[in-house]
Amino acid sequence: MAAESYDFAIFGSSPLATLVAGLLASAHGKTVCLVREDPSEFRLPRGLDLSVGPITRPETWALLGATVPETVKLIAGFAGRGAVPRVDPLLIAESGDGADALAHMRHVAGGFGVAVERLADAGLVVTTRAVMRLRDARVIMRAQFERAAPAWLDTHKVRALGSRGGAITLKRDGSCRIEGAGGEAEAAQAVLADSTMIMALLDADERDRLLTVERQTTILTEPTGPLAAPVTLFADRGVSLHQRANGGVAAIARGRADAAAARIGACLSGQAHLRLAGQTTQAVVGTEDGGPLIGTARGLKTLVVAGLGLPGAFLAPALARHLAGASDGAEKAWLSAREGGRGRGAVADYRQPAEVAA
Amino acid sequence: MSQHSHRLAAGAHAFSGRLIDRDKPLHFELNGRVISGFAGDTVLSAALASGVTVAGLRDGAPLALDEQFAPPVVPVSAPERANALPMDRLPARDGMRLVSTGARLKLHPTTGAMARLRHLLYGPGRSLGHVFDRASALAGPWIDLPPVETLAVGLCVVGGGVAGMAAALYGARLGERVVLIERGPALGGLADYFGTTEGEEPVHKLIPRLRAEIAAEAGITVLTRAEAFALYDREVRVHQVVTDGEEARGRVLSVEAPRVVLATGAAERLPVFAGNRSPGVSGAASAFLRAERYGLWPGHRALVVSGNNVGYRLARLARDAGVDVLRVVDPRRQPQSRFIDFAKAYGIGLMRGTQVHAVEPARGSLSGLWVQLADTGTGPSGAPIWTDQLILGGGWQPVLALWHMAGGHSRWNAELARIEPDGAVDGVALAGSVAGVVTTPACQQSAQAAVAGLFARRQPPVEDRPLSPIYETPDAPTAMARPGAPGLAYLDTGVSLTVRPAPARPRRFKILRGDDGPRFPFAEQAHALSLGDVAAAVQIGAVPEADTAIVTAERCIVAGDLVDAARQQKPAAPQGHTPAPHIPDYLAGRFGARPVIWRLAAVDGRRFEPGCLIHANSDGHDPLAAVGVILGAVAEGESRFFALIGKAGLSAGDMLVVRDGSGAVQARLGERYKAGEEEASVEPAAETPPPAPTSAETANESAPAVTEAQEQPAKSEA
Repeated sequence: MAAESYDFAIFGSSPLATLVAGLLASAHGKTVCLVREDPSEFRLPRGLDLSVGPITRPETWALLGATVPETVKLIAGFAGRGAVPRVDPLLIAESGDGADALAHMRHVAGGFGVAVERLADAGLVVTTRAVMRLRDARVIMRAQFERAAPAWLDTHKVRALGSRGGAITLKRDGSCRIEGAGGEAEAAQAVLADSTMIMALLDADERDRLLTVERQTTILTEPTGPLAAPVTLFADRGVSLHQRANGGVAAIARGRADAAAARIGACLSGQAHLRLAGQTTQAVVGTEDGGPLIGTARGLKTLVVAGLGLPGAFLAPALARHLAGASDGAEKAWLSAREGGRGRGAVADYRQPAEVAA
Repeated sequence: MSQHSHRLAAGAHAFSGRLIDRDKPLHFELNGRVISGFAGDTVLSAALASGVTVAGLRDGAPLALDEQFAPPVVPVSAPERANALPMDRLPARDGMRLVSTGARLKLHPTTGAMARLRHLLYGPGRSLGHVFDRASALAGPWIDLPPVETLAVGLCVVGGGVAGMAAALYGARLGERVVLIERGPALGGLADYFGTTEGEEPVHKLIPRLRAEIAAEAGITVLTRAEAFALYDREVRVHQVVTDGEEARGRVLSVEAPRVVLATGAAERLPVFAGNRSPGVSGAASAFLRAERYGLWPGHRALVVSGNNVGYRLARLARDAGVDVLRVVDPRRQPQSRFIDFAKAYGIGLMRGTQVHAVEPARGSLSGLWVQLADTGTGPSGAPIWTDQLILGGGWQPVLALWHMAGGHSRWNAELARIEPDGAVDGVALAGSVAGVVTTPACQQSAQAAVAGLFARRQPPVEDRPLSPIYETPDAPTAMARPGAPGLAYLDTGVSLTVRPAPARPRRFKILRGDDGPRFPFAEQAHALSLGDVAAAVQIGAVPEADTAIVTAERCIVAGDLVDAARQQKPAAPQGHTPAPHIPDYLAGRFGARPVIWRLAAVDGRRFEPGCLIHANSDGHDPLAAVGVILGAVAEGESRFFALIGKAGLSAGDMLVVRDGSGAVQARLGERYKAGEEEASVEPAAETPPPAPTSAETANESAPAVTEAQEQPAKSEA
């Protein structure tokens, strides 16, 4: 059977990968296949998709100012508004350096009209140096998103292929070939859009030297009382907490399971006891300078997207335009400054201290 | 209720209680009630023998007290949670005073004079009196404790059944130091329950022989009453109950071993129907072990419902012990077994193609249970049957918790309706029934093969030859009753308390709701699951077969306490504050390639926080057009600040505007930061061209002074 040909093969299971694949097809008329782990509503989240974060670069806030409304409208259209509700997350710093970073973020974000309050006391148990509440952020509810995404992708003729058991060949010119139980496919441009795929498909010497690999643990807890906010980010502890409707908390922290559990537990020590309900550890790819990387693999023209941080999914419209050759102006400058290798500009952003990520 | 009301009389039968000494009675207090037992009893077996059969209530319905669901107990004199011990592994001692813990107790006294008065007024209750309003409340608190001792050995074997004993012996004979971990009070496992097949070494000879050989091996350390609850990175965490004289205590051990054999066996599955965890409902293997070890048997009437052939053997042994076995009910239509023939010969009534539909505890003065049976094809049939005990023989689920913790994967076997191990884990091997082996000789062979594989030796073949299906009909999948009967239907025994989800209802008024909401609630179960939960959920369609591996890997975990973990490990809080004029990495290139550090002060003397943006004039709002940023105060309490500024052509006394969140504040430049005072320039990443210009830089480049500044390295400025 002849392989089907596509303009793009997007590799990844994250909302970013799904949105980019769908947008390339729906907004830019490209033929796309999405290669991903089999979707499951039982899989614990590998990340938190929030429209804000401890971002210090003004050009990123400026870009999000344009892409967040686009993304919200898009997701609400196919998954319902409940899939991307408003939240007022807390950002917390416990160290002096972290507090300085959050203070700078507050002034930068405030300059773009983002409502950021500095709180004196949020009823937290940890000793904080800075607590900020960001108003009217958006968070993607992964379960609802995952349920609705397949139909949306189908509508736009995005072919979904499972990544398990297939043979994937990345070629020097950026194209790729996929052979699996679901059939064969070729694409002119491969895009690796999440950590799992970057780790699986690129050898270490094919990854940009800027890329780092760390372990990250997701923990789901039993239900507990309401936290200070439904979404809380401990910026310099490297912990994010997202309380679900049933009271359980999905917590994500850098590090192996036992260290991550203790770090998360310290953030929740206001609770008398809080038992685990689920746990998984995986490798995550980031960047040494804390800034996003949208560049090619070493020795290949395969495009690699990494280090976009919490708002990654909300940058999907810009990334799709970039891939389709339709970006211009400040958006194009933002993307080109975030290439790897010699093309990379000074785009470092706040990154939790290395000893915390260990 | 009399002493030992749930104990069979001693006699020439298999259920006299092998581990108890009826000549050595003892008494202790549990939740204010006097419990009578014998030497050799555990706290749990003595409590069950004394008629305490209920752990507490959930949604108003009683939950059975059993080996899989028993609250930990603490001494009345030292009720701290850290002193909690498991009832089923704690030896009963005369004069103990204990109180159960883990879940809240109903508001009645459990200790002291008030408890005794209540006992006198209302008689000895049969409940420990807990209320279970959250899952996993009974998970052992010891799983969060740090180890007090580390044992470093060449081989760790988890599970003291036939496979585990054989693995330990084989490892020791290879010259390795071995630790053998067994949860029960003695080695042996469940082999006795299954009996012996013709041509095999009789179990009653095999187990004593293996025990004796292990006792003779100096290289084997046996830990009994010890539960291996975690396996990470070649470290097995074990909680053991030990006795020092009259005192029993728990301790957590760390067993470090480069090679681990998991001979953890298979657990009996719970058939799913309403009321399946009512007091008086018991698994067949549990009922056998209780009777064989401690002579326990509640009441005199028993109904056996079993989809496997061993259930018939249990019925025969119970009849031997004087129990009135009402009948043996089998969901299979045409079962064949030698045990069935024996049961017929005993005159025990048999029913086929039938399973339990629902159970309801008897009310009023009547004790026991009402059992509603159902034809497997057509649904509920016949009048409810009253019995003291309902014994259930379900399917078997390999105990894979440690396998998953070690990084092992699993898959769903649709034919056998169970989760099986998949793939391999470096340094970890499976032996016996957890590996899918059935017969006793094959369990021993698989143990040898497992150890040989770990030590890179030639593995002996494993010849597992169960009797032909013509003579021994294979086990039926664990029975799942149709929903509809009132009462909670649990998916498994144990602490997870996962209940069969209600069928999804058709959703109306979708427009008003705005979204679809959860399609099926099982994915939202907010507690750790057991393998039995997942297996049952797959059988009833609540979890797709394809998701079995994900759910078991991510949701079947040790339900440790995060807050306790933090208390134990005390993770360091983020610290550190690099004093100004340090330039953090995230400001690299932010204000051009060669920004300069200045001292600056507000005209009105106000203080700025680090991070405030600096603009060239009061019209500047856009962060992209900012020319600098406040780095921090020159010194603690000072009103002068270091500022990183990328605007060229500035000199002391020039005015800039700082936006501090409240408005635009005029600020006057002081002196440049002097080196002695190191280089203040912030260079972009090495070998990279300058970044794409921001609008601020574009604006700056239009000013002639920028050129001047770029030609003047910052370190020469003073």
